[in-house]
Amino acid sequence: MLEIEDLKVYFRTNAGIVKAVDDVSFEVRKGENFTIIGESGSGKSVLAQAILRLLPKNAEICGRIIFNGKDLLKLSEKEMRRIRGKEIAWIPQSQTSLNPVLNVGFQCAEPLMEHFRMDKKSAFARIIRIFEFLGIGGNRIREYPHQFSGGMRQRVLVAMGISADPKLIIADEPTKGLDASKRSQIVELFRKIGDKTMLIITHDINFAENLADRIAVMYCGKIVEVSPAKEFFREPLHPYSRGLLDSLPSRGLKPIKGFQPSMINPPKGCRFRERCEFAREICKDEPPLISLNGRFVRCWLYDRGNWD
Amino acid sequence: MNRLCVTGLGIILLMVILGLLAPLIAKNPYKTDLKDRLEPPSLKHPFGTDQLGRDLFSRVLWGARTSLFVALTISLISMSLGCIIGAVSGYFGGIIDDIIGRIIDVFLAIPELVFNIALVGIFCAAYGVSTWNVILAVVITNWVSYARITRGIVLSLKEREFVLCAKAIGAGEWYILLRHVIPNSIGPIVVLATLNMGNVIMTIASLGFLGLGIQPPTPEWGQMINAGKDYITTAPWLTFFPGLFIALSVLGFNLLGEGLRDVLERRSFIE
Amino acid sequence: MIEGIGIRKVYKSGIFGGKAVVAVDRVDIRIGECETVALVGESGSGKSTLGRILLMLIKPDEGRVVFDGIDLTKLKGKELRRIRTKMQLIPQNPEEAFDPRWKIYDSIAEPLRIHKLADSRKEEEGVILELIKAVGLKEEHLDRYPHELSGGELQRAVIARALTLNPKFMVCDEPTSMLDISTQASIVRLLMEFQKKLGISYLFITHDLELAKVVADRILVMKNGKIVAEQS
Repeated sequence: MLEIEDLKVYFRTNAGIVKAVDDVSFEVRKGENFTIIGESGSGKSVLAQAILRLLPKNAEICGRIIFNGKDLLKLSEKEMRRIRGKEIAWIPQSQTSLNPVLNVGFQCAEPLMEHFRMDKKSAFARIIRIFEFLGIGGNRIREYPHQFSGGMRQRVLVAMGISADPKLIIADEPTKGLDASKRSQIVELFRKIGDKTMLIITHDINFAENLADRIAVMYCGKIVEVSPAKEFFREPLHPYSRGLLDSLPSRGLKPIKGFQPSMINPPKGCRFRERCEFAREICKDEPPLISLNGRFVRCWLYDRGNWD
Repeated sequence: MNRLCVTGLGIILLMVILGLLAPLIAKNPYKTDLKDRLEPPSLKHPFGTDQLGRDLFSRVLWGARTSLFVALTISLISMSLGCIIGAVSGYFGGIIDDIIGRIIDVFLAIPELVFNIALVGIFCAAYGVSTWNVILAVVITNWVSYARITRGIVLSLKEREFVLCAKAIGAGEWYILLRHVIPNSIGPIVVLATLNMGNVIMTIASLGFLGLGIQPPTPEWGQMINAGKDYITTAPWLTFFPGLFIALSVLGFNLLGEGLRDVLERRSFIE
Repeated sequence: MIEGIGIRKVYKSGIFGGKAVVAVDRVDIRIGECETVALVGESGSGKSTLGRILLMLIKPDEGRVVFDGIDLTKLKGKELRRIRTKMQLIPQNPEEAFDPRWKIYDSIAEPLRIHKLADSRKEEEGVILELIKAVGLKEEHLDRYPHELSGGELQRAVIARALTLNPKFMVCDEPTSMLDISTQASIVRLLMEFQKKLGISYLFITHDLELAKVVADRILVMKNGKIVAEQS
């Protein structure tokens, strides 16, 4: 459904080139929930925005983003606009993404009227059904964003995303800034639309554990591991994935030593090397992406030629 | 460096240098020569002469001195006054804020120029004619905008966590106000002050034009336009050159102000 | 150590104060020496307000705050400021915790300067270098401005600043909710380490029950301004 091949996104800044996404490849299969986990500064949000070509002009993108056979990077802006919202929906981070002076119903109906030339009445009728399905309440359609709580606003954003029945939904940090109890409501919400193909970007590991079919872990612009969710949480492969899970309060609250390196001058070879307890001499070379029983990991530990 | 800033600063510097060099490059602005009345611009008199035969170039240059000096005095006084009142009002809140807030509202409700005219009239009647009347009158209407802006900035800064943290380490109220709140509000206030300089120059010229400002024979642009308006068909340079200088200096300050705003706002955006 | 008795705080809004919100409703809370009490609740449950009242950053409408046998609600300006050195706040958003115009060094030195605790510039520098190493930062961080540091580094600097005054009690108001998971782990471990070393009591405010279970000796659950449950 969506294939990303050798994607690179660089930003030129005064301080140097920021390699926000560096040589990333993965594939989202039809019907699955593919979740990218990463901490702030890992480049995960940039990756999501690159897919929809929403990045600012100073970003340099190369590689291929193939969606249903079309390379999105080769499309014109006009063709791209037809894909956004209709084929690929974007659920932005909560709170400020709604227009405060328009009622929520209109904002959700807009893509329907735009892409399917639906008239206002039938578009609104459909939005009311979606609102009821998501537990917002169809009668709130004429209310304005400020009348909704944080969790409810997130629901409205989801409603807006699914209104045009897109083939792929990309959600960026859907639980950011929400309380623990609100988070579980958002998990329920995403379960309800679980039959859709979804690419979720999050730093919230609990959220990923509850929803994902497959998990990708991003560190410093690179994807270091791609695994089916169940196996990932049972036995993470990459040392960073392991460190990340162990730093959860429920798994011992063990910190990873050191700090995340700067994106301008990341260490050569494996970028996690300086914080890794298994680091060896060979880690100074770029590790290959190693396939292991349907899982992928970018770490020298799993390279058969180097087992000693 | 921002292009607006540079252009604005260039114009202002030109004005300031011309004003400062007036004693060197200009002739005596008071010397009348009835033989040379209403001469058009020439090599001898680059801007021509006025109805009393005075060299207009010299008068315009000396006028730059008057206008810029008076405008700067007014701005500095009203800025210090306005900022302190606004900061105290916003930071301490409560009944002080209520009273100051209402006073600001009253001042904002009266049209500025009308208020100025009335004040100058009262001061003239009470203390006689003097430049200080103009300064005082404009300060009285001008501090309000500073107070209003400062109050707003301080109100939002007060809620920031670093102010709370300062309180938690045992800092006193005045310490926090002087060390944290005021320094952080200086950026927007500098922008306001620059933009406001243009306004003040206009106000001074307006009062001068109405005959209420700085009195002849002291050269002042507004008053020169007033004197020249009777000859506007026969000697248009009498109104043109002072008008040009008013426009240029207002433009200079506006450009600089806009430029500063761009620079400061972009920086706070990055931060 | 510190005790809040019958604390109540009402916020009035609307033009005539017609709408009143009871943020904290007659709460009793006691935190012993070297103890960590976690205060768990949703946003809007009043947990932050309660924390700030214990630090006397907000005046309660009713009730008393007793610290080491002294009733803080009866103290005036200067005395209260002196007592404040013994209790500190670790705020939620480290990016907001420092004056953006000050270098990190000056911000950490500020408490020493306000209370005139260092006799010379050299002594001040010594104290700060020692602290900065203890929280896991490097000397080079001191010369930077807040926006040049990451959230985790800033929160370490916040901790360093709080420790300059040798506090006996700290309120950690969701200190890791804006941070990444791995950074959260290191910050919380750091706080726990200092507690053991220096014998500080914590009120640890969080909405993450899992985190509270790891950190705290006792957990208080707050809802609608009241403490509704306690578990240890």
